[in-house]
Amino acid sequence: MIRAMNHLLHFEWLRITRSPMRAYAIIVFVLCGVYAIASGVEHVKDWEQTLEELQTRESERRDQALTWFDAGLTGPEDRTYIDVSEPRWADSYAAAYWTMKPEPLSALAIGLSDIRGSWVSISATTGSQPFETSDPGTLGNAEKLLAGNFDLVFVLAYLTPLLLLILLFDVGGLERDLGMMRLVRTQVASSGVWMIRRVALPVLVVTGLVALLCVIGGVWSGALGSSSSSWLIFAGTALGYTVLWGVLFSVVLAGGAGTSTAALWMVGLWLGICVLVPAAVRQVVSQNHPVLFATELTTTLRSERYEILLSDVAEYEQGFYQRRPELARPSAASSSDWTSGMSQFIKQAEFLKLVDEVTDSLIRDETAREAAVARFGMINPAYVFQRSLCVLAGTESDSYRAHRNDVLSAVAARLETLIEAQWNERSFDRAAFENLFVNGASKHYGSIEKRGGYLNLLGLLGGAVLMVFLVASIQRKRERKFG
Amino acid sequence: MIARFFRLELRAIRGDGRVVALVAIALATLVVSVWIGVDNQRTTEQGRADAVEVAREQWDSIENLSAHAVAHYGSFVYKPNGALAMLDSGVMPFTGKVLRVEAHAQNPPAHSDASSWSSLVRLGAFDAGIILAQIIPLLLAFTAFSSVARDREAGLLRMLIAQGVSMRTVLWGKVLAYWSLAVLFLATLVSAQVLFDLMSGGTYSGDSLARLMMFSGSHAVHLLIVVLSSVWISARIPDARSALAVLTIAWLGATVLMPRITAQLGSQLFPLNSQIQFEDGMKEDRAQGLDGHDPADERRNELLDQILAEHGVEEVSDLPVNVGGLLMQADEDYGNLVWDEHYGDRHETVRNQIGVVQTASFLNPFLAIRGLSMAFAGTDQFHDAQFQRQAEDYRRELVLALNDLDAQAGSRDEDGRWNREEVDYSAIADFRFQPQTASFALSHRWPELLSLLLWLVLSVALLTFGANRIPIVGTGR
Repeated sequence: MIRAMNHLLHFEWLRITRSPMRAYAIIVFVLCGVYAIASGVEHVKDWEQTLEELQTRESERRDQALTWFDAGLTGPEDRTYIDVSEPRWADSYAAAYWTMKPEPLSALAIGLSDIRGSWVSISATTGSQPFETSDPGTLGNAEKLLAGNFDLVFVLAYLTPLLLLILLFDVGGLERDLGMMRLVRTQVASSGVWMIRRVALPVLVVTGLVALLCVIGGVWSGALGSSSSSWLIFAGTALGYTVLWGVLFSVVLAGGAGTSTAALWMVGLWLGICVLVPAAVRQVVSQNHPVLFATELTTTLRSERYEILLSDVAEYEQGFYQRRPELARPSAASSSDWTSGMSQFIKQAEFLKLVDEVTDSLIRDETAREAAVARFGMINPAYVFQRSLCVLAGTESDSYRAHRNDVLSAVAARLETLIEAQWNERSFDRAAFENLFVNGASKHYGSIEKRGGYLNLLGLLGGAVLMVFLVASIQRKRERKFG
Repeated sequence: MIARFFRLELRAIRGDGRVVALVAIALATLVVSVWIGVDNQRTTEQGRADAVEVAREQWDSIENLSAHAVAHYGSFVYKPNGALAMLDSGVMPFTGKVLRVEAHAQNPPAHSDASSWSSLVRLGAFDAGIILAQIIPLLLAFTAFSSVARDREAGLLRMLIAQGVSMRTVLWGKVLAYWSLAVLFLATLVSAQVLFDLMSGGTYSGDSLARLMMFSGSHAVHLLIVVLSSVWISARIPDARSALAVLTIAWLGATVLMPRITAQLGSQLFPLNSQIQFEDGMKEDRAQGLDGHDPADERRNELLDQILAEHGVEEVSDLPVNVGGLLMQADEDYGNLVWDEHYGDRHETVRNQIGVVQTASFLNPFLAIRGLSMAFAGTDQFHDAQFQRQAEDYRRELVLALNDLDAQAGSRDEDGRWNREEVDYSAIADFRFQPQTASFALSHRWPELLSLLLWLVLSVALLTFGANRIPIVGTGR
């Protein structure tokens, strides 16, 4: 039996290595993988450069303000109205940034990082909010975004099944086309086992290539060294996805079709799973959860903001002090400067409360849209696979939502610091001014996909294995009956 | 004779249950997708109309604000969908569709569809442009790969040649049969789209019809190129399995790999500055002057002196106008120069990046049809840039009108203080987008059009003049 298996493996090996078409396909696959990794690493370099530029921008502004403190000045000499020791101006000049730091795995799974902004300036008085960064597509070449990413996840999600297709499409089918299937059946103990062995080697070869690309990607991007546990999950998911496709194609091969019918079915399966199902899901979900014109947000940012600014502060005072019991309501005898300063912050707090609410509502919409997409997870494995790797790399929508929440919290924290300073009529000295920069931060957002995503892939794998046995058994019965 | 072979091949296609099932499923899927697409288009249009109405109501309810404050309050403009955007959404999902127009700031459009979606947005769209350019060619390749090889392997080809039928006639019969299948897809898709659209209240102007014809015509030519190439490969390669593998790899290379690689190459050859550098550059030029030696303060002081001299007074409080409005407008004018220079450079770089893809379209007709399809649907980068340009023009007009009001609408009291008049801002009109004509699309996409025509000539020549070199006997198994 072991000898028979060796013979089969040897035959399959020769079939792969002596077919120029298959050899070219393998070479093209590996080259695409390496190019994808290189282009991902380049993308992350650009991302890191942007963060460095922000760092420079932030430190230049900080250093400029610090020189005023050191020289006993309140601001630029030609702008006497600026006083950085006042909370309002201190906030304006201490514009820290909250940025998303790329995970090492981001080079392998670019995800949404070229579509969405990864930094926001933190300020409580200059209208900072989590949607501030413009769409990169608008400022750049949107046709490039349309063409799509060329990262390792794309190669694994799209091209791995195609390589498997090229290596597998005539397994069994060729014997049928040549009328040799009866001969095979008479010479092997079990045609099922024969088939499994024949399918196993191409799947193993592709799995090996995927593992090789994961290792190259891991070393090149640094993920293997700095976040090895995430890399292991990444590689494990990629290998599992490869096996899933091997089993899905086995369903077709178990159906006992000839070469061209099998090829047609396999391409149909690939086209369905990698192109049609994701596009159809997007279209169907768009119908129920359309992305419209953000009227809610724009109304808050403009109309409601102005309404607050032009209203009498008394309208908001009660709520403001109720939410901050540590601040006693002021006596009527407070100075007019103090009252005016506090009024500004009371209104600003009211505005940020509205921004919080509207952000919450937008995030709820986004989450509902994604929950609707997740319901199709079992029939949408290419997306589930891509998503789970992007979540690991911190480039999926979940990461951007977490980033928005962090931005809102940072702005709220900054506002509370300013309110506290204004309340106590405390002016900002050098140390207090520098302290404001703690509101900015640079953070990684990679995480592990919820179990549901992996369960979808496992469920589909289980279903496909059952289908293989079911289809093979039907085919066996039919062949026994009709020869 | 060609007609006879055409009918014969059609009969063979009809007799292949797999192909019939595939075509039926594909057609049904297309019609459903078109129906959903039209529905989504209507929802978006309604959403836009509602957004415009809300913005207008907010504008009309402005009270107690000076013209300058109103310029800061600003307005919102919303990107409209063109009449044919549902045929090919192009770059629209990736670019912002809401733009705030206000004084002192030239905001880029924000809130794109992509900014509210998960990475599913990367896995393709289901519109006619993608289906016709990417999916139908694959189906055609998978039905036509054995068209000649099958006859050769069955010995039919040898018999036909022996009976005096020219190879050219056989090939053209097959080409026309598969192309008629492609045209069936195209006609179903486009007519279903138009029908559903008309039923839901859509209208078509003369320009839209011209665009529709060019859209359909360019796709028909591309599909003909695909059929010619598939039949040629089926004829030239000795066995059907190898033909299938070659066609699959060619499809993959043309529609999946090359678009990504050329787009990447374009951005490497013509890199764009980062957003930070871009923003800082604009800020710097606005503050220090485009030549770096004309600071904003000096510009302001010079203008103030000039205004005082023009009116023959020495104090601002003696001027018959509000000098604030004039200074603000001068600053706007300078900001507009800075915008024109920086955005001009940026658009030029993007244009060069697209130029790389346009050049590569001479190697790959898929790149040509993608560009043409988006352009005829009015959803390519060039059309999108027009929205930004027109919105910026509207911003300039709005801010100019408000700064004029700020400077003129009022009078000075005895103490020299400027008293503003009550102004009715509701007379200021909303933004109206002027759609581009079909000739605009043609003027930007002529390289792709030329490439498609060259590919057509090349594939016809290949089939016509290369027919004699096609093997009529298979290599055997």
